[in-house]
Amino acid sequence: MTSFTGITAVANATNEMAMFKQAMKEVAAHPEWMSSRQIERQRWNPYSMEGGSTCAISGENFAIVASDTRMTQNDINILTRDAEKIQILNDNIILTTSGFYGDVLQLKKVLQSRLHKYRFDYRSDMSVDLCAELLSRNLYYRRFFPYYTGAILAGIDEHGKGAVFSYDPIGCIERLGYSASGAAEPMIIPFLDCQIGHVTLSEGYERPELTLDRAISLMKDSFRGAAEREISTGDKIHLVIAEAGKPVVVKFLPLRED
Amino acid sequence: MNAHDEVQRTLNPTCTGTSVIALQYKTGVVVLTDRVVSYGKMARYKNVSRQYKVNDNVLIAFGGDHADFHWLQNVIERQVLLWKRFDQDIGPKALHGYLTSLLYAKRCKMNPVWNTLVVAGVEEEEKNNKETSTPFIGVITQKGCAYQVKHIATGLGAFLLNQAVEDEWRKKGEDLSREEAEAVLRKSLELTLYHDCVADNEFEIGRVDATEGVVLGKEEKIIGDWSIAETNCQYE
Amino acid sequence: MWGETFDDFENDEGEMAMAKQNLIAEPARADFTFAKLPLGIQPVDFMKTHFAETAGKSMQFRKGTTTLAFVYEPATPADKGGIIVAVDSRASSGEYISSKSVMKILDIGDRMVATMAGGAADCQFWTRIVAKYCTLYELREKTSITVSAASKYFANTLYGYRGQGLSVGSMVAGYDKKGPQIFKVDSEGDRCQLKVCSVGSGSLNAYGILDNHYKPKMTDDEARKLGLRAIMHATYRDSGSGGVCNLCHITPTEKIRLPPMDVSKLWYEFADELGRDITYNPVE
Repeated sequence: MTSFTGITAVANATNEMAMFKQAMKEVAAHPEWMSSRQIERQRWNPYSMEGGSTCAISGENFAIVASDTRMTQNDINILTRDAEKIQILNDNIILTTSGFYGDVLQLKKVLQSRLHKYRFDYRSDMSVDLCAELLSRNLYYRRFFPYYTGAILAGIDEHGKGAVFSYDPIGCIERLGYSASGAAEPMIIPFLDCQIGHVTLSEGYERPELTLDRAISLMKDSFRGAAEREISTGDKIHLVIAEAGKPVVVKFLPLRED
Repeated sequence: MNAHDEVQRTLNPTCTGTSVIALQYKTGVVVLTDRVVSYGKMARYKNVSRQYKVNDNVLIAFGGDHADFHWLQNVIERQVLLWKRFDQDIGPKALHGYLTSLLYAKRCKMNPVWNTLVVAGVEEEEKNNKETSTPFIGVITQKGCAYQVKHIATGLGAFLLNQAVEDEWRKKGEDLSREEAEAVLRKSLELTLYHDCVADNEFEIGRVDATEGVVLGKEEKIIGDWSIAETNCQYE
Repeated sequence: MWGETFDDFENDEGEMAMAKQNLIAEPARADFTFAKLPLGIQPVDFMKTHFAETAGKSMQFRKGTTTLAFVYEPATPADKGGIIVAVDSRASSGEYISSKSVMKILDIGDRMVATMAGGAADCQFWTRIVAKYCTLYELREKTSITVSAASKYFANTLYGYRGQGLSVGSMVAGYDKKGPQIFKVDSEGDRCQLKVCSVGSGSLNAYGILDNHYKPKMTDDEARKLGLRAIMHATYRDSGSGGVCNLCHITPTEKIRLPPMDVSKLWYEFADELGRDITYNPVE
């Protein structure tokens, strides 16, 4: 206790508070009880990247989803040539995820169980719009320990139209005409921008209509193109076609294996 | 600190096993592991089996930390007993799913089980009908990343052998016989032996067959052909 | 749990009373249980390690923006006045433009919007929480919530997560019984009322245009043009902004969302208006 004048007391108090806050911060970052083993543990990288790419295109009455089936270790070593990144959640919802495969599996499990419960509670299948919001929320719930995934949800909405929803790892949602995620995203998207978005076409030129056939060929092209230039994409195209009022069709098409 | 530092600073496993090689044949799965547990580069424990028989349908082989696998054996045993209470035998698919969740949950606590597990078995599609049973190989890495395969090599084998085993598999596919599959595995071990310094020449081949169930292998030895060493040394 | 017996129906009245009680009470602060990192790991450091530039391009969070809003009074009786909210539509993950068509004006109520700058997911999620609160408030109090109250709730919620790495820079703009109001709210818990406001990476460029041309009294056409102009110029100087310009005009009676305008086309429009050739002319 040095002085009783107000100013010094306040100054002391603020100073003390600042020091206290600093100490709190330090102790929160490095608690004393933490053993070196625990500190080591925290430096461990809980994520890995299994590579691969996924893409979805929606049209007037259809949505098609594709992914490659390669799974790599450190982007270099191919672990398996038939890892599936697409999950058909019900007749009109398809989830496709790239990124850390453990999270991909977890996300699939979370959505499957939520959809199951929805069926149990409401005795109907969930619509793709609802599921899209559900996924967004579930991604955000892991805001502070995110899923290391780029998810795309596609399907047929309540009006029979194709829908594609694109997400970032923590659940920023946007409905788009087409979307891609994963290692080859920066390659596939410009191609689709050109072919479907027609961003490079001047006004007054004819814009080809996006039919199912055209969408499928574009999808094949984009993956074959990506497999030529991207190391962790290849082996097989896993193609899922959802058309309004028709059952979901699944196809596997060959891709470069090198 | 950059991203690479933390990989290096990781809490390292102590006593480890190396590659597991497994291959599916017509009616079952063969699994090969060597019988050594290393402490760094030292061959610390010899004559240790790295395969664990869960029940008549499932066999688990591990690569990675030996202690963690022992802990896992306990957990698995409990799970098997739990199923027994409902008069069920746990199948390879179910166990694979369970272990995936377990390893993922441990990862989320940043306290990983330092194992790469290979769940080999025969999945019974219909109860007591061996005709419809299908062979199953499932792999789980320590981060909870799981997948099913027809053939697999883990550890250093993932780099050395995956393609070699795949090529053999593609020649015959589903029609591979047990003898042929075992021959492929023996050849593969020889290859790891040449290049993996913690691999051992004592090994065992376990198998899960639709009719015979799990048959744990006997200890075998391989010498290999070291004449290739002449062409592959830069240290004379 | 598994089924209802007839006895259960007798409890209905009690339950109704309970439900009413719950409805009258002020809803608790949004208490989400987010999955947490194990004790001792700082989320901010963790994100920096795994989701910053070192991560794959597609694994970075979407961000980057120019948003602006201003209040003006009608210059002539024919004009409506109110608030202009204008935003760009680019979301970038690092150097990669992960979306060029993001809607950054999010609805909170019939008469209120929030803009989105900073982490896209953070804004989307928390804006919905605020919207839910506002709707519940309206149902409970039978009057629409003031912009001030809504933004206060927003700021308080964000303050609860301060220092954990949220990234939100939002403007809550709307018309209520006190008139047109804009509140800027950010993830540090800051909240302040402004007449002219811009947030995001391109905000300084937007301010440059805005402060130059802003007048307290404007015609509707002038005001809308000003919003477009400021966004357009900001997108030309800030690489984190771009795409189309979305504009929302909140008048005393309604909320008008204008169709998106491509900023590349706007450039030519404004060049024409200035009577200037778009090619660079050093002599001039």
